[in-house]
Amino acid sequence: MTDGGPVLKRILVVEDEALVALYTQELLEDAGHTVVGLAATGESALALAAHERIDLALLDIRLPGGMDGIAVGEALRARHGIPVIFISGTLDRETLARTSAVAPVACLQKPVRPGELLSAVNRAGREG
Amino acid sequence: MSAETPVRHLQAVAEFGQYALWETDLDALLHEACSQVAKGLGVPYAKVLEYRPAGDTFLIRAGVGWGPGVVGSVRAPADRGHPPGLAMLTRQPVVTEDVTADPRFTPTALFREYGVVALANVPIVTEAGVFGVLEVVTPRRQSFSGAEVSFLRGFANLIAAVLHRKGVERSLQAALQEREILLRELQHRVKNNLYVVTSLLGLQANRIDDDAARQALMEVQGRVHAIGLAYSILQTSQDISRFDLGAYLADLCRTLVAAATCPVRLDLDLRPAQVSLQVGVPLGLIVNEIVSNSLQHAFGPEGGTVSLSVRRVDERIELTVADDGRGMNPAAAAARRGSLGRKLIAALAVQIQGTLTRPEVERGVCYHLSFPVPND
Repeated sequence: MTDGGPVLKRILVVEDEALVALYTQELLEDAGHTVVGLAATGESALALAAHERIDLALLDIRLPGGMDGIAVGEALRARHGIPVIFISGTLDRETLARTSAVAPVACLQKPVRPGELLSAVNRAGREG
Repeated sequence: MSAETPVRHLQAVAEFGQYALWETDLDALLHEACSQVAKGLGVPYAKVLEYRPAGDTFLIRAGVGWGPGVVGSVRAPADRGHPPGLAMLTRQPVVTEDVTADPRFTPTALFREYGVVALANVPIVTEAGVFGVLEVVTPRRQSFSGAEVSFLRGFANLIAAVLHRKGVERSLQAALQEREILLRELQHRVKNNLYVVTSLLGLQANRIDDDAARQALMEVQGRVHAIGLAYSILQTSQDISRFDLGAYLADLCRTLVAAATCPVRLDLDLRPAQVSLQVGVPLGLIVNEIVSNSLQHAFGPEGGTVSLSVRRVDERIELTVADDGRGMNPAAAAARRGSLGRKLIAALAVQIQGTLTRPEVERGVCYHLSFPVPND
C-alpha cells in the first residue's frame, strides 16, 4: 500500500463470461490488486473462498448453476465476512432489494467502465 | 306465441349483439345472454351450463332467476339421462313440456327445489367442441315452439361467436407476451455481447505499447460501452422499445465521471423524454464524445462541473451538455476539427435530424442539440 493510494486487495472474480472475467482480472492486476481466482459458478466461488484469504469479491448476479450471485454474496458474507461488489445486467428494483440484504460495497450495472470498476474497488478499500 | 314475440326476439338479439361488442368479461356476457333469453321467452329461469371434462359434469357458469349459491357452484350430470347431457351428446336442442313426466330424464335436486316442469336447451358449439348448454326452464307446463327454439339456438350461436373471439384474443395476447419475452432476451444477449466486445478491446489495448494506438482502442471501448448502456436501460424500462433519455444519459455521465482523474460534479436537469434505441444510441454516443472530451481536456487537478439538461419544448427535445472548464483555445479547436469525435458528433446529429450549435458561454464549452420528438 502506498501513502494515500488505494488499499491493495486480494480479490475473487465470479463471472461466467470468460473474456469478461479475463479482462476484469487484468484491470485489477494492472491496478496492483491480486486476483486470487476466477470462478464461473457460485459453487466454485465458495470452494475457492474456503481455502483462500479474500478481501473482496466481484460477483456477476446472473450465473449458471444452482446459485445466483446474490446467494453467493450472502454465503461469502456469512461464512467468511467477505465484502462484495455486485455486477448485474439488469438492476431492477427487485434485484436491488435482494442485493441490499447483503449490504454490498457497490452494485454496478453492466456494461461497467474500467474506471467505474476500479473506483468501486478502491472504495471498498477505504470502507474496509 | 303472440304477434309481438318475433319483435321481442329481434330486440333481444340486437341488444345482446351490441353488448357483446364492448363487454370483455365472459361471465358478464353469459349473464347478459341468460337475461335476454329469459326476457325474450318470458320464462323466470335461464342458465348457461359449462361442460367440465375433468369431472364429466356441467357447472352452472351463469344464470338469472336462481337463488344464492347456484351460479358458479352447482354442478349437473352430463349423461343422456339429463336434458343438458342429451343436448351436448346429440348436439341438438332438447325440449320437454314436463320433465317430471318425461321418461327420458331423471329430475335433479335443483329442478325439484325450484319446481321445474318445462324446459328447452340448446348446445353451445364452438370450433373447439361443445362449450356447454344454454337452458331455459319454467315451473309450469309449457310447449316451446320451433321459433322459440330457433331464438334460443341463435343465442347459443352468438355465445359461441363470442367464445371464439375471446379464444382468438387470448391467443394474440399469448403471442404478444411471447414476442416480448423473446425480444427482451434478445436485447439481453446483445448487451452481453457488447460487454464481451468491450472486454476484448480492453484486453487488446493492454497489449499495445504505442500510447496513441492504445488510446484509440480505449475510445472505441468507451463508445461500445455507451451503446451497451442503452440496452441496459431499455431492459429496466416498462416499454419494450422505448426508455427515458434523461435516465440513460445520466447513467452514462455517471460512469464517465466515476473514472475521472479529478473531482467532477454532475449537474443534471432532466425532464421526461421517451426515446427508442434508434434515437437514444446516437444521443448517447454524442454525449459520450462531449463529456469524455471535457474530462480529458477541460479541467485541471481542481476539477469542475459537467452539466446536462434534457427538456421538451413543444415537439422538440432540447439537449444541452456543458462544462465550466478552461474552454477551447483556437489552436486546440483547429486541431480537434478533424478529429473522429467531432465527425461522429456532427454525423449523428444529422442522423437524428438535429440542429447542433455551440452557444458562447462565460466559462468552458457548451453544446446544444435540438431534435424533433421521435414518433417511432
